[in-house]
Amino acid sequence: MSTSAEQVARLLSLVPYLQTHPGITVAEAARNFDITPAQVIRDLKVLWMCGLPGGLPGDLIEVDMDAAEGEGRILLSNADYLSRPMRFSPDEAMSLVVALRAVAEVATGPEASALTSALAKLEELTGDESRRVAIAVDAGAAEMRQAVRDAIAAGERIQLTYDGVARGETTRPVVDPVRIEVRDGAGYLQAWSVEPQAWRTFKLERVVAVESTGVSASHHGEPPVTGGAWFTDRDNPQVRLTLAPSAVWITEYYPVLDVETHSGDQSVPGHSTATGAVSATLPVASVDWLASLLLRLGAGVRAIDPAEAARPAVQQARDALSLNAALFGDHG
Amino acid sequence: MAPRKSERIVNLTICLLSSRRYLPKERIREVVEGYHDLTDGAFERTFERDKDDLRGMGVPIEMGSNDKFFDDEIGYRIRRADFELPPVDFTPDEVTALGAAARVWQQASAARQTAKALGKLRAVGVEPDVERLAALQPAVTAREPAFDALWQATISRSEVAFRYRGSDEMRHVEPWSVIWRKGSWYLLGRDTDRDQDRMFKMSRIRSLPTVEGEPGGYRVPDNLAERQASLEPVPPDAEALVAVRGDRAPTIRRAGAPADPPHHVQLPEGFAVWRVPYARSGDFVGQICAAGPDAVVLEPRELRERVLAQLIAVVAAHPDPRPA
Repeated sequence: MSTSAEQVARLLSLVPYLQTHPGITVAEAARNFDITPAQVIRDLKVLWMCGLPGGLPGDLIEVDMDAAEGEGRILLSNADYLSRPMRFSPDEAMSLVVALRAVAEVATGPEASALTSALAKLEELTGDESRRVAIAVDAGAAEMRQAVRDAIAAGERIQLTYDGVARGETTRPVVDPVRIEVRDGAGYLQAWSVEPQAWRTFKLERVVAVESTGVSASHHGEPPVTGGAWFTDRDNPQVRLTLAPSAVWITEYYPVLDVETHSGDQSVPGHSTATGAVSATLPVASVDWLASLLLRLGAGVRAIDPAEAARPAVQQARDALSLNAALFGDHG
Repeated sequence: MAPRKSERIVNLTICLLSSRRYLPKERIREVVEGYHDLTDGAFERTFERDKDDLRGMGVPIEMGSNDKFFDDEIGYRIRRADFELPPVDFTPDEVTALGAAARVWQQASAARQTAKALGKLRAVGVEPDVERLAALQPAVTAREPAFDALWQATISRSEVAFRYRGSDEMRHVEPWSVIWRKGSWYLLGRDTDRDQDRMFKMSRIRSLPTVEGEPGGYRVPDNLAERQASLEPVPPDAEALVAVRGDRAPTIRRAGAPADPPHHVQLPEGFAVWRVPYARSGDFVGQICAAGPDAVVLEPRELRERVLAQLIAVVAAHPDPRPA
């Protein structure tokens, strides 16, 4: 959109806005429209020259420019014919509806019902566009979220039942919950864990139960800012995996530091590398995580560098095979 | 001259909005400040451009004549009912809820559009409080380079072309909807070359999508929800008996229910048996293998054999680099 088209679109919202907010400050109007105070003044100077056709003094929009430039207060009148803003554009409608649906996915209780009814009214206002976008957040069961939020609000220490994935184990950590966050489509709880005396992040989806401890939470300062990249810590040890096409999906699922696609002739010695094989460097979140990744992908991982990094996975595979042999007296 | 142009277009809007009748072009030229000093040719060009600008903003300019019986001159007007935001009546709780939308988008253009929409609500006296539900605000991101173009094309219903995955083939797609799932954006649409529904993961799109067709160039089917089902996990179609060590392997245990061990099996110390539904086409074998010696398939035999084969493959793929 050109600058003047942008300005016209804004002016058509500004005129009704200033009429429903008589005497509002230039600063406040600037904040609301995400423009500079100087731009608000420029906009007012344009509006000053606008009005009903005819151009007689009584036909023009009245703006008290002295008050705007002097005291920084805006008084606009004689613009009854622009008392309501334009309809939502399809882009505005879709953006707003998606944002609200995302909030609705994590809300609980009365907030959730207010969101649902507000969304229903908005969807009536907007056209067919709002059904052309769907959004889902993995935020776990509503009761869990509610229990965690209640504990945060009341400043209570709680005991979680948590299905940890990295170590593949259900644990029952006692935590002081601080904040719920949603990133990359999933909800997380940031909490101070009493046992290791450290900040921990729990995926809400894997919180199976929340129990109160009857103890108040203590203060531990602010949790560390997690930022956008969670597990891409370059200080973590790294491994380079040569992946068969069946395992290439992990490069989209897990953070990778770099990915290289091989053509047929760049085969790894001792392995036939079909076209579509990929080499990827991954930060290793933990030894257990890497072991379970290698076990899960099986023949999908053709090689790993350094080779020693495969040892825990190989050991676990051997242990699993022995266990099977002990149970069934065979290897298959 | 930008201010003068804005002035002229706002005046044109007010003029067309305030008229119940269709206004002939010549009349518009007389009354709208900024037109009457122009030469005939300049007026024609300017008026056409201004109309295009307004339509581009979504201002509905109607063309018609005031008298259907006489061959009256064609004129223009903006119907107030089409132009204005219809009356909305939000409860105080709903207004608070609306404020939570303000900071959700982490993608610049969608964030700006949301702010504009909230600005229009403020203009009609609905004052969403951005701070009230601050604790609730999820972040919606869109890091995929293709996102912006596909979002716009979905809104305007314009056919697009792009390269997908490893192939150099240009895919031609009529976008139907965009979907955010597990932090990734997808595009659902009709692949016009194959004449079939297709779901595209935006992170796998290798070229910036280009618009190939006119806006509004096709219809979007009604049953979108049904057609998005390919993103849902495949429903289970089989059941396994799995022995799991204590609190380990939670993803396997949560999917199932406790069960009795078969008679012929002597469970190792600390293991319990779970009956777990799974999808044969899914990655249940990988899930079991990932648990290592914490999960053992008891039944069915076919599943157990696939697990053993994969475990053997892991051992074989990584020969010990150090001689024992």
